[in-house]
Amino acid sequence: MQPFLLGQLPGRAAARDPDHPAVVLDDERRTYGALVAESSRMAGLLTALGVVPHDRVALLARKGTRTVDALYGILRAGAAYVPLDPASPAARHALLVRDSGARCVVGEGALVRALLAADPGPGLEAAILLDDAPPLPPGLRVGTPADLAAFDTAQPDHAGTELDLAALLYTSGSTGAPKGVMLSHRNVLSFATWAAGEFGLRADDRVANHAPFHFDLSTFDYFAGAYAGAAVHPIPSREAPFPATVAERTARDRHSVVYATPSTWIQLLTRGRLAERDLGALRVALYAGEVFPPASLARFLAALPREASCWNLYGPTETNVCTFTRVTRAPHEGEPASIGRACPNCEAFALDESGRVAAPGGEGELFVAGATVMQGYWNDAARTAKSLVPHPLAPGGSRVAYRTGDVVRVAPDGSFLFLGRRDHQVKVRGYRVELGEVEGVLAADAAVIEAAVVALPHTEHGAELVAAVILASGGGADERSLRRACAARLPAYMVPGRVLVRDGFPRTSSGKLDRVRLTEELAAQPAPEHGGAAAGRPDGA
Amino acid sequence: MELERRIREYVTRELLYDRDVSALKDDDSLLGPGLLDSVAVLRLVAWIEEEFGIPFPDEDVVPDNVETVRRLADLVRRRQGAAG
Repeated sequence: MQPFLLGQLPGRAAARDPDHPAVVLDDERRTYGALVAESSRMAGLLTALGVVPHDRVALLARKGTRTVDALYGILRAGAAYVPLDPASPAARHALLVRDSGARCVVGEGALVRALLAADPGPGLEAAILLDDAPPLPPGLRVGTPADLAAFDTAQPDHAGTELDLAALLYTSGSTGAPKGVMLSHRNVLSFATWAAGEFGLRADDRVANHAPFHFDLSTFDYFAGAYAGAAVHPIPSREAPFPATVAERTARDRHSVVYATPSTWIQLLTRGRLAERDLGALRVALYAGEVFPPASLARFLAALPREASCWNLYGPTETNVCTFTRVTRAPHEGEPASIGRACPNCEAFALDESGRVAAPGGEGELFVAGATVMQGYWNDAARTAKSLVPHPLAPGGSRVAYRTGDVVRVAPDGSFLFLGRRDHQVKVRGYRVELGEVEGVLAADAAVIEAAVVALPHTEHGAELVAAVILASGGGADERSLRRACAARLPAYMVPGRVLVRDGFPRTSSGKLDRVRLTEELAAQPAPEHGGAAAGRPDGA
Repeated sequence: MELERRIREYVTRELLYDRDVSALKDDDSLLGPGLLDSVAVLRLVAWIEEEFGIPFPDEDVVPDNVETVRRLADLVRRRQGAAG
């Protein structure tokens, strides 16, 4: 029997109703039947350009029907998709193309052109443009939208297995380089099919898609959505920074299932007047990625229609969603947030410092095992071995468990309360940021003697990154040049809003950086004007 | 044109981090990939309110008003005219 793979999702939905919309973005519309045909053509073109099963194919495009054609085309060609953040600098795209060994990139012409100018390495052999862009410089095999017409709309998928790589999702890495989380078809399908069932997704749902493709929340929108045969409604990238516009769209397009970060929900509430809009169609409201501040959560719950259910989903990219809980009230200020209990396809347990399973009332690091847990980090056996450890409760076997680095308390009913991190990872607008990666970029400047980045709490974005640097005299660097260096190499959410030059850092008795005191010092800095952007002026204005 | 210049300088320096956008023209879209994100838009709105002494209410913070330097300048001029 043919295994069940992600690329089959549109075909299964089309078999039920080929004319049902799969993706709707204003005037752009793909029915499931058309998505099957267009993704088949895309798979044909990819194959003709040399892509073979088990290849990685970079996806470098904003949301749109053609991007979804490409997503399924890549999967149906037997390859894995490597979504790159269109908003990140080209140098970052090139780094991820080199690291992933992608043979081909599918994307918007302007973005692909910038990638090629940023040294993507010799492994990149082909490109498919999703728009009618000017020709690319020579050296690559290139496919264009006009080429697609030559390919069959009903060609069979490449055979594969459930354990083949389906997606390579890059997240921030603590040692200065991003790491690629390897998700198999089984990992993603196990999550998507559970989620579609748990939240009762139906063909008549309109599933809003807030998360860009490189953000793991998007796997719910597209794959759970397609599993249910529902219509996915992407929020256009151009509109995403405008809460009033997005809130209006939520009501106008009658989104019935919405999955977004607390930062996004808070923006929609406070600046988009979500509570005053007609949300009568909304029946499932989901959030994940960061802690929802209690006061905002209370406002959010009050804004939802009475019939709507609200759920908190928890899980690092490495595990997909692994615990969840229905949210009916906000915790009191200072009370830890519940992340619920393990999804039925996962196992989650907390181990205390002596390695014993924490009992109700106890605390420990959360471990996760099961069908949704990643295969490992791409090309990084050492990091994989540190994170995917032999299953502590099944010694001697071949099973592994993922160490989340998250510290939890076990509630009396066995569910988990989130207490914090064991390391220097923080969340900015739901995105994971390893402070060490930002520090690494700053320290790469020859004029920087030492760099430290801290996260200060921010009511709307979860956290604001502030960097402190000690500079060599006469090194030529300043706040402005360092912020520019970060913006040239890091995604926007990782660029510190402020870079402050210090004469020295507070130290512990052993001479190490005292992060607690540094954070206090930086938090005490006078708040800059204009929401944090104006700091960094040498004159301190 | 002075208004356009001030807005262009702020956007280039503070929101685009002096990236290679020296050619940023008054009619170029600021909403393409890698340009203004949600935090940058918030900062821009706060700066405009303070710098030009005009209100920029949330319901006016929409793509059509923020799309280009010229649209932003037009909005400021309309508001200043309305106030005067």
